[in-house]
Amino acid sequence: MECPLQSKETTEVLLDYCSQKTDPETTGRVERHISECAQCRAFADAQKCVWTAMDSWHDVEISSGFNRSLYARIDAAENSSWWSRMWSGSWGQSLLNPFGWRPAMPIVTACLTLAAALFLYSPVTRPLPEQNSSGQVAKESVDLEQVQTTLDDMEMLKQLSSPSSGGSAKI
Amino acid sequence: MSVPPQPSVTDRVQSDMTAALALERDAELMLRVRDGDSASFALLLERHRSPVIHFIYRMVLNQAIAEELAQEVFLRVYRSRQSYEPTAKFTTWLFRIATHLALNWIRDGKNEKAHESLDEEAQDGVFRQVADRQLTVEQEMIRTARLAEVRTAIASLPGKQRAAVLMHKYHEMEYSQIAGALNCSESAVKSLLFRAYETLRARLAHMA
Repeated sequence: MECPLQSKETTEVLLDYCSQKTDPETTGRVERHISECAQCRAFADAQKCVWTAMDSWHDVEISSGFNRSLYARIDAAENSSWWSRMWSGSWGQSLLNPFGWRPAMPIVTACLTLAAALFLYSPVTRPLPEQNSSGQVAKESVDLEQVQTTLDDMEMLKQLSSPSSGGSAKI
Repeated sequence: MSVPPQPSVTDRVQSDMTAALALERDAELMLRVRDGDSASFALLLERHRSPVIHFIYRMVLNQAIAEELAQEVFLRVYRSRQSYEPTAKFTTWLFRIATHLALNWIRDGKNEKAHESLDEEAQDGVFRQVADRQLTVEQEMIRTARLAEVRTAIASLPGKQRAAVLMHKYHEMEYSQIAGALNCSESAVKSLLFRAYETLRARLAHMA
């Protein structure tokens, strides 16, 4: 028999042997090998020791109210509405416990940062004023009329205030 | 090295047949539960309550938490009755739910509850085990110390290794069943077990 410890694939044979899961033929082959191979013998001895030590951990006594408590939970779950069942389930717990979303947080943060950056630094396109609209022409004509009126008024005032004019005769 | 006598071929065949019948029985009971038979659920609960609680207890090292999680396991089984299809072994499905809940509890509550569980360990685990009245006080103390060492060694294993070892050792599950419960390949299970037992051999070999 090839040494089981030489490859991981065959080491399970030793584990099975130590946990008494091998058939008699395999058991015989392993025992013959162990009698010749010190390494496998040490492995089997240590494994058997672990197995025995683990045997000392017995089962515990189950509480007497286990079934009663379970059936109460089942009744409560059966009588609850579909949405409360959903919230009490894993989906709801995920929402209630935001730390359960921990893996998604960096992605959400990155998306928010990107959105904020796009919002702040995007070029603002302002509409250009319409060059040939009728409103613009009318406005310009009004401005010209005002200028003309103002100039006329100034000319009239100048004439009134000048000494050569008849309007400034001494009273 | 003295190795206990190995089971004969006949014994193994009988054992396999019994296991197969038990598996069929579980599936049959679950199908009846699907059809609204609550008595079948009670039977399933009776058959699998202890293994599930003991498995979770050895995972989380706290009996109250173990029973609460075990109730959650059976609650989920009951809720899933309508969609149940006997494609996988019932126990594999059951242990998959139990492992999932236990690993989640360990992941979420480890930091907060580590100290509590260490304190409770003495009260909860060791003393709740039925004391052997044949042992002297000194022998009982040695037994308690050895047990604490075993529990600590197993608790130090990573979650999946711990689950694999517990299913392999205490529930005598096949590699394929453990793989189904842990949702990984059989070779991955063998690797997990190899590494886990390697750690345990290093920590417990002196107890010979």
